[in-house]
Parts: sequence; structure tokens; C-alpha cells
Amino acid sequence: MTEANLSPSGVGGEYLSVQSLSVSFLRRGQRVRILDRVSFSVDKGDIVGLVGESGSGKTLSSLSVMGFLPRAARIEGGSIFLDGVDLLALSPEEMSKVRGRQVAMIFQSARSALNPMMRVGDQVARAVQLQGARGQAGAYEQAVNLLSQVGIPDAEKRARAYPHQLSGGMCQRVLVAMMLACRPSLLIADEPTTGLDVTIQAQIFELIRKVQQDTGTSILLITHDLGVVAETCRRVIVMYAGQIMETAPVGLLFASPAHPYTQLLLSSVLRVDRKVAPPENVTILREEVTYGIVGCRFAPRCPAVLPMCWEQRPEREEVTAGHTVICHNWRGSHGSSH
Amino acid sequence: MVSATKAYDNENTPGSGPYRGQLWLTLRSHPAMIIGLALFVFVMLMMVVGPLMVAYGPLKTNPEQVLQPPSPQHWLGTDNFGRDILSRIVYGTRLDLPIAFSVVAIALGIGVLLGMWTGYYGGMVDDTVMRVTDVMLAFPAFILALAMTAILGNSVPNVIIAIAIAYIPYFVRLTRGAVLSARELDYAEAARCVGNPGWRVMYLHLLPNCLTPALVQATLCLGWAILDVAGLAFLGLGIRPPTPEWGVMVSEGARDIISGQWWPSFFPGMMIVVAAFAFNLIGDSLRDITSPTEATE
Amino acid sequence: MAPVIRVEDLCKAFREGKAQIWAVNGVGLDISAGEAVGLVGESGCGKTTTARCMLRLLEPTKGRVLFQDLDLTRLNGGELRRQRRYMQMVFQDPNTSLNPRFSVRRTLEEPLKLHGLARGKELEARLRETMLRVNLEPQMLDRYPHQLSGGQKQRVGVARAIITEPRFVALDEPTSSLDMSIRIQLLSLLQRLQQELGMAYLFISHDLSAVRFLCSRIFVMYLGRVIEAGPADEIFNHPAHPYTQALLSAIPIPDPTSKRSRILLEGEPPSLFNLPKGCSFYDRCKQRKPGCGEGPPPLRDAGDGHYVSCFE
Repeated sequence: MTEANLSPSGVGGEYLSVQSLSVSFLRRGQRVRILDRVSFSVDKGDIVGLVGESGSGKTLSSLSVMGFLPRAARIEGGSIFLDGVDLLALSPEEMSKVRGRQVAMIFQSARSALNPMMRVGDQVARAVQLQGARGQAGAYEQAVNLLSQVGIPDAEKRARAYPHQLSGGMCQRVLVAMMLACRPSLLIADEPTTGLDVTIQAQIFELIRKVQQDTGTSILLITHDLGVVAETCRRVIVMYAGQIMETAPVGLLFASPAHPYTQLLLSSVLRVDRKVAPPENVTILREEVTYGIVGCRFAPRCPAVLPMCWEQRPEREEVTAGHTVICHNWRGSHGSSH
Repeated sequence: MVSATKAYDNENTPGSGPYRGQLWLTLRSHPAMIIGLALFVFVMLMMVVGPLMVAYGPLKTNPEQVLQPPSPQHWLGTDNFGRDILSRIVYGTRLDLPIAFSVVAIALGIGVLLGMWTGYYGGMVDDTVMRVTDVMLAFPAFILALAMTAILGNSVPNVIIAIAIAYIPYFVRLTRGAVLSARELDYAEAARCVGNPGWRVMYLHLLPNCLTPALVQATLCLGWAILDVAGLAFLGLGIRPPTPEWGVMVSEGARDIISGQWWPSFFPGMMIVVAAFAFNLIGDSLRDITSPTEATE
Repeated sequence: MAPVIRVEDLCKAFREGKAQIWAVNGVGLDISAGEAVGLVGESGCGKTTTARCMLRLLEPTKGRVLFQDLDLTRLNGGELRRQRRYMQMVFQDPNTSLNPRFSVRRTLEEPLKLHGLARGKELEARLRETMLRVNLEPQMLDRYPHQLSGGQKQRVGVARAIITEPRFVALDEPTSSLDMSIRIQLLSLLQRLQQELGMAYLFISHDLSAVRFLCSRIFVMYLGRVIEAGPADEIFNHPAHPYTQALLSAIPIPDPTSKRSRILLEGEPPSLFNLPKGCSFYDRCKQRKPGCGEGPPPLRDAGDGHYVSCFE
């Protein structure tokens, strides 16, 4: 499945480097800073998982990389380097050249990402054409080819279908085919299997893994499912309330999580291969996510919280090679996980 | 220390209604609403205290002061019987407004109940009601009211009923639409699951959530009702002279416009516009407010 | 122990134009007091429809539902409503399962008032007690749903279901809309409530890891039929039906060190409009044989209460 102990420098240099990115949102007349100095990176050829629950800011981060921020959002600071180029400094035209060729995204709801008025074969063909390699006829032929590569049976017939005639899983495969046509260096997959059945989910991830092996694309996989992370990703980034909490190779994250939030997540995870024990303390933890805290935003729920956690943002510290944590008190809780 | 619950409790304190805290914020961003409300208050004041403040009775004729232009004794002039126009307009509010409210109340009441019923149960009843409303909506409301009055007979109560009947299809449609989507929601099913009979699910659980489009329409209908009542009166249906009613006044003053006496028609006409406009502004603003922000989060 | 609720040969058909699809096609199951039975399957398998037919929120086309010695399918409106006090449901989406115009208090007191179970001071005491049972502060009684978090709203849903002290509760994917860290808390709460109140649970879910946590017996559905049933441990450790085997192997395990082989299914479930003649799993089954295409397979007993519907 996955190599648990990969060398910390990853499989190549850094391809994507997000540095100290802050994004705010206009909410009811007030500007709320959702992403707070977020920094993470994806190496060439690596599969990185961005894990977080709702409100963690993981989707907002990916939208920032793609340049798809909604109007109510504003970038307050930081930079996003893709292969050495700061995306935030690009003009919209330059950015649109980057999209597709260097970075592409597949979304949660695949059907709504497709044009409902165009047959899927034509949509993939257009993606092929945009890469400039072929003329119209050649592009369509290549499109059908790609559709069968992503495992769509009867590709020639299915290519003539409209998105609403295809199932969710099929639509997602069409998106992967479009992505293959573009051959981006970085693929961002934002919860690509939410709403799909588990057996279909397995097929889609198998497809993504195969694509990664064949093309060497780097993948940033955004998910809340720790099972998917364990099986598919090599490195993991944990986010909470718009802040990065911990980063580690997947094996280290599961074996010895340093951050109290990661420990909380891992202790609440359910498994199908064994019966999980119910949590000991039945005190219901507060659920609400607050973006107004100056220090660490996990403070309201943190079992290892110190007074300084509210006021001061912790520095990034190294636990071991490749494993970093952003917490004042991680030593106090490290090693005491399950 | 930063209070962690602040960003999460919203502006509402426990015990207050669901949306009260946001009222002021909403008003501030909809100036049309404020203007509409101001005009509405103005008209209501006119209705309530106006008659106590005017100098002349609405029916008091004065043959020497016939067709006088606006002057310090008669602010809006006099009509062809020497009656003070301002007094008549003020007294007119006591007719037009209650009639408009009655019309809308009847149409709203019947329309909403009917719309909820057919929307919830569907089936043949629903199909029949829909076809009937289709036919009714094919005609402009005024024409329909005109026809109804002709059938029912020319009297004020009949005019009220006629106009109300013309408006009912709008309310049926709107409410039915709201119910069709609301009844699929889990809380409707939960209401049945808990043991509510169908009528309770419809009227206690679903109705409060389906009322909004109908209420918005109701405010708009108030404006239309004033126009329709005045229009029918202008044609001689419903209210008749010498009763002071804005439409009647416009009708009576119409023939004098040619000879240059514009004020007997103009001011009542303006009043109709002001009142209808007020309701339209309120209704439009309500529609804007309730559409996007109904789901507050 | 006699089961609290038993379903026999339940069938539900929907009409789409001229065609008729059997969303539920001969399902049978039973649940005893204090037992949590999982009803699992992927989308379109009919598990949600089955539950709604059991509660008669949908009218079954055929079959019987025996609850407390009564056949629910034979009751008239009033009798059915009276029975509703003993059978309740927790819904999936906390954002739509609570009436946005009702305060928590109003939502919770309604079942008590409808069935005449409490009034005045006693009503108030019951409300408080139930709130505390689901770990909610009684102050929240006067809040409205939009003032509550997802987990809190879901707990109000649970409170509404248990406040009449039902014997049977159907839980329709109660944790699917919740975040990970809240999920296990809600499941623990449900477990504890069952221990305290002795209700029978029907836990409907596509999330088998949640089912593993809570349930002692499982029924696996595929395209409207029960294809495997038995004790939870037995099925999880030794799945007999090829579909169950594939389903279990498809679920990712949150442990990078665990190595397992995955059975990958080809294609997608056939549409309910044209079901294959024999076993409904025929076209995707890796272990299919020629005989599997004739007639639906019988439910065989594999020992220890483990039943499989397969020709193998």
C-alpha cells in the first residue's frame, strides 16, 4: 500500500510552496480572517493529504492556489509559489495559463463541475485541444481514448452522453480524464469521493493512484477521511480553523501524533477491521470553530492548553525529521496518545 | 481572554425570537423599505387622526366655493360641489384602506389554506385546483374583478369579494410552491413520525415556513387592491358618489380637467399613487430581504 | 427473547411512468430489545426505504411489520398514530430535521403533548431530564436550531426520538453529516442511551465502521434484497457473500501499516429498472458461475445465525 517511512525530503524538490498565506472572508459585514499564516508544501511526485474537519479552511486553501477565490474573500498576506513562480503576483491571463497545464483541480461534486449542456466526450476533447497537441478530430479520438483509460466501459458510446445521464462515479472519472488531457504537474483533489459509494470510492482512488504512478503528477488530496489518508497519502498536513497544526509522513502521524488535535482525531476514528473502544471521558467537547482567537485556535478544545496558547501563536517545531508541529505544549502530550 | 462563544452565539440571546436581532441591520440596508414604511405610517396616521384634524366635513357642500383652486382656506381646493378636497381625501382613507385590507385578508386566508392543502396532498384535487387557477390567472385581476362584480351585483361587499377572488390564485400558487419543497424536508417527516396527523403537519409545522412568499405577495396586493377598488369606483362599480373615495373623486373630477380645473382629480389620484407605492416599496423590499437571507447561515 | 419488531417479506414498489421498480424486494429482519441491528448497503439498496416502511412513513406494497404483537400494516390512522409513541426515528441531516421556526422546547414537548404523556411541571421536568440525557444543557431549550451547532442539533433529534421512551428507534445515517471528532461521541451517546433505556435500534448506514462500533447484528442489502445477515463480528471477520467481501475490502483503514488486498468491483450497480434475472449481483461478481443466472438465490444458513443468499 504505502511506504510508511519515506525520507523526509520527499521524492523531488518542492513543487508547491504555500508560505504564510492569510485569507479573510466578508461575513455579515465583518471581515473574518479564516486562513491564518498557513504554510505547507507539496514535493514533486509526492501525494500529500490535507486533513481537516468542516471549517478548517482546507478547501479555501486549495481555491487560493487555483485562483478561484470567491468575491467575498481577500488575500491578506503570504505567497503561493508554484515551481518557483509566485501565483499571487500573476495577472489573471497568466494565471489562466498556469491552470490546466501546471495545476488542476477535481472537485467534490463532479457532476456540477461539468458543463451540463455539452456531451462529455466533447468536454474532454476540448481539454485536449486546449493543450494544443491536436486538431478537432484528433482531439475527439484522444478524448475517447482517455475515457477508456479512466475505466469508463463502452467509452465510445458513453462519450456521447451528457453529464446528467452519468452517475456520480462516472462523472468523476470524466474529470480525471480531462485532467489527464491537461497533464498538470500538480493535481488538487478536493474530497473527490464525497457522496459516492464506498465501492466506487475505492475505484476512484485506485484510478488516481494509477494516474500518479504513470505520470508522476504531484497530488494534494483534501479529505476528512483518515482511512483514505492512511492508504493513499505519503505525507499529511493537519489543519484546524484555518491554521496548520501538524505535518508529518503518514506513518509517523498515525504512530506518534504530536499535536493534541491530531491525537483527538485519531482517538475518534472508527475502524471497520476491529471494534473501537468508546472514548473515556464523556464530556462533550465544544464543537464551534472560532476564528477570532489571536493565538492557537484549538485552545478552546485543547486538553493540553496553556494560558499563553490564547495569546501567542506557537512556532513551528521539529519533532523528528520531516515531522513538524505547531503547538506550545506538544511535549506535554506527545507520547501520551492512545 | 477572548470569549470563545462570542463568534458562535450570533446576535441572538436565548429567549428572543428567531430573527429579531437582525431587524435593525436589515432595515438599514434597505432604504426602499424605510421610505415605504414612512409613507405607510403617514397614510395610517391620516386614516386614524386625519378626520379629527380637518376643518370641513367631507360631504359638506358649499355652492359659493365651487371649483376653487388650492388656497389657504382650502389647501387642495374644492370640487364641483364646493366640497373641500383635502377633507375628502382624508376621509377617503377610511374607506380605501380598510377595503384593501379586507380584500387581502380574505384572499390571503383562503388562498394560503387552499394552497397548503393541495400542495400537501396532491393528487386529483391538486390537479383540479391548478387548472382552475391557471384559467383565472390568464386574466388581469382587474378584468376578473370587473366580471365578478357584474355577476354578483354592484355593492361594496361584492366588490370586496370580487377583487379578493381575483387575487386568490396568486396566493394558492405561491403557497403551494413553498409547500411542495417544504414537505420533502426531514422535519415534516419527523412531525409525522412523532405522531402528528396530516392537518397538524400542514398547518402547524409547514405553514409558518411557507408563509413568507404569501406575505410578501400580500403587501403587494394591498397596493393593487387600492388601485383596483379605485378603478372600479371610477367605472361606477362599488362605491358611488357622494361617498368620498379616491377613485370616485377622480371620476367626478375627470370632466373638469378639460376646462382647466386639474385639482379635483389630481390630488385623489396622487393619493392612490402614494398609498399603492408605499405598499409596493414594502413588498419589494420584503421580497429582497426574505429571498437570499432566509437561510441565515 | 421475542423480538420487539419483526419484518416479514417486506416489499415496496415505486412507479416511474409505466415502469415499476422494486426498491425493497422481500426483506425480512427482526430486532430484540436492547439490540442494535445494522442495515447496511450502498446507495439504492433500499435500506432507507425499508426503515421508512417499517415505521409506515411510507406505505409498504406487500409484507408485514410486527411490532409489539401488532401488525403495523393493518392499523388505521388513529391506531397507528398511537403506536408512534413507541417507535421513533433519528434523521440524517441535522440541518433539515428540525423545524427552523420551533424552539428546542417546542420540538421536544410536542411528542409528549400529542400522546398525553405529561403536562405542566412534569412536562418541564421531562424536558430537562431528556436534555441532560443527551448531554445538552437545559438552558438550550429556548434556543432555535440556527443557534446550535451540527452536533447539538443532532442531539436534539435524538432527544426528540427518545423523549416518549420508545421501544424501537430507527437511526437513519445519524452521523453522516457530522465531523469526525463528533461522530464517535454521538455513537457513544447512542450506545449509552440504549443501555439505559433498553431500546431496539435499527442503525442504517453506509458507513460500516460506525456500524461495527454500535451493532451486534448486521443485515447487508443490495438492490432491494438482503444478501447476507448475521452477528456483526462474524460478518466482519468472515464475510460469505462476494458483495460483502468486496464492500468490506473497499473501506479504507485508518492505519498505514495494515496491509490488505482489495477486491475491486467492476462497473456500477445495475439500474433498478432492469434487474438481472438471477442473482442481482451476477454481473459484478468475481465468483459467478453459470448457475447463478437462474432465479434468485435462496437464503442459506451458514451456521451461528449467519445467513447468506448465494449459490456458493
